[in-house]
Amino acid sequence: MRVLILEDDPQLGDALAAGLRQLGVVIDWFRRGDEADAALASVAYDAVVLDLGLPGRDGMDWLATWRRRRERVPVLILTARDQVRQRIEGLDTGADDYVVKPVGIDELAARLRALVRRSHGRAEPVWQYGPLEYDAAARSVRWQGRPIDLTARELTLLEALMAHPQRVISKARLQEKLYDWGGELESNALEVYVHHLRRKIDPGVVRTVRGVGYALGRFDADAAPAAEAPTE
Amino acid sequence: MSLQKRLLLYLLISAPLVWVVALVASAQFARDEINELYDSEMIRLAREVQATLRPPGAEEAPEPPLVAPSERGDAEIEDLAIAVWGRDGRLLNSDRQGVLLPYRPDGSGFADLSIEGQPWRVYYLQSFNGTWLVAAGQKVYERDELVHDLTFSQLVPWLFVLPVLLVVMALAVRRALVPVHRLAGELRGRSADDLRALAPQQAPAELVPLVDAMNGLLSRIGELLAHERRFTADAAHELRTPLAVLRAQWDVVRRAAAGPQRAEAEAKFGAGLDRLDRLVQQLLAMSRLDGERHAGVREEIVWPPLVEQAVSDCLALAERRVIDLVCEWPPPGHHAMPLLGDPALLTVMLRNLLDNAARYAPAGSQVLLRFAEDRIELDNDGPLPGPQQLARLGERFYRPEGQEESGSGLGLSIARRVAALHGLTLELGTRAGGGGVRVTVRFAAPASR
Repeated sequence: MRVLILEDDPQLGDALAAGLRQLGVVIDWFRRGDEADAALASVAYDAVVLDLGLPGRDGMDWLATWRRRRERVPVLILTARDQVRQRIEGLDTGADDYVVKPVGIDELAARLRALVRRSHGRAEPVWQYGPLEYDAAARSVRWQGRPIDLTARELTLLEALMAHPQRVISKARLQEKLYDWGGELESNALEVYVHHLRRKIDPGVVRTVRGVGYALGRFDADAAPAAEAPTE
Repeated sequence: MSLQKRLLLYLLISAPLVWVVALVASAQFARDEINELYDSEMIRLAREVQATLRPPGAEEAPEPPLVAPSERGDAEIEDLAIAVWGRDGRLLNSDRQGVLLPYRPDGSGFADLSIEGQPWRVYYLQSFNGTWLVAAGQKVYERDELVHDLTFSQLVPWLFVLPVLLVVMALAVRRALVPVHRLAGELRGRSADDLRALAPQQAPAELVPLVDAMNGLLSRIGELLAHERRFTADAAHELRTPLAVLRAQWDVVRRAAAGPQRAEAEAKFGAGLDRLDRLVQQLLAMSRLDGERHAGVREEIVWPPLVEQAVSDCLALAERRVIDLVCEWPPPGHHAMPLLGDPALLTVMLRNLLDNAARYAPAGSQVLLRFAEDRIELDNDGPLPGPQQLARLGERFYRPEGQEESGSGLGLSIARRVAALHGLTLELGTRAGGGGVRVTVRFAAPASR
């Protein structure tokens, strides 16, 4: 899950980013609206945490701009403005959730997960795809009922694939999900994580679609997934 | 004591008093009238007796007839006396009481005498040729009785009327005070936040100044209340972000693995606590200052200890940001801005100004505090605010764009408030050279105070 945070307060932005990163969320934190706006146009974020009281242009302005631009990313407003009138205005302008400061990292993360879930058209908190189970809140994975131990990056990759189990997702997009703005990007890093997933879960859990990207393996009933996984 | 009781008391005491005075006066008038009446009666009697007297040598006067009690009517015969004497003092004629009257050869006119222990009023009349002396007397008691009877006849109906009068007065007083009760009732029935003005046209003229004064007070209370509410709302709003910082930082600390990662998280948590602490202190300072109109304490300010204190408070920040804090004093023989005021408040002002200057100056630069005879200047190399920002700086909770440092947006408004309490103005402007910000504190023009 890759989340954009737009928060001008240095301490709060830093703490939110650090706390969410601890929970395995990939975070890009911006203090200026125009920077966040540029990032949002170029990266497919799963959600945005938006502060309203920004210097210069107000957060509400940015939200309205994004929605006019048909930006569909879920937006969670995190603000000190606690009036009912302000909440209504925020939600009506296009926010998907409105949280008044202060908020704990756990709650914020849970709300973000719920937003992402909904944006993928799912309501259930545990994603199931054939024998593969993913619990986003507990960050745990089971294969045929057996728990699998994965690192944060591996989990993030699997999450990205499970969000759209029927779709092929480009390498570029998956890399976006894995690394935040300033993160180091080795050219073959994605391949390394895919390899880890196949080794730890099942060789057929991830399919490679040559020239396009990756998708979850097809494991309906007792189909042998390995047969469809092309070797590279 | 209530107004009603007071009025009633005055009326109840003064009404009988006035009445007693009136009674005494009317008794006096009655006595005068009665005296006049009886005196003239006695003169007439004496003259009549004299006129009926025969020349000397005539036979003995007959015994006066005894009037039977049944023939008297209401007359009190025993109270009257008449006597006639000859030249030699021989009693020629008298009635039953007349013998008691003393012979006074040179008597003439009225005399108040005591006869057998009782006061009498006697009229002596000499005949023209001095042959006879006629005396007509009357017991004074007779007159007193008449005066008393007259007075008493006035007193009795009045005693019956007095309670009625008192009741009527009580009712009148109560009725006259109805507007006061209505006003009191209206105020008593109000909820604490109902600060609408009272309608002065409903109050009697005597109460209009009071109602006006009360309305003035109500409006002042209303302003104060609105101000307090605004301040509380602002404060609650401003506390949310530092609390959110702490909340998030605490969650990070909890999850951080032991080692440098945890130490860093804890250090950040400490900084978050410092920030909240600072904000709360400034909010308290602000709320205290808001209640004041003038600095309460007025002593001659000796600046050096104040500067020492303020600089010490900002030293940690200055060290962290590598800011050089410098203070310049006026040349020898000149005094640094003489002022009467509250040293504690002025220290707060200096600290807030220094803190602001050090917080927003570029790292490694110098902050210069300069005292002159008529002003205090504070320079830093901070980025020049635009005219729009310049106008808004010092507004409560306003924080200009692009601040790396977390401030509350209260420091300048606190400093400005302290300055105002001392009759000073605080101006923000650019430095003479053009680079950096200059804060100038100087005496307000007399017209603007």
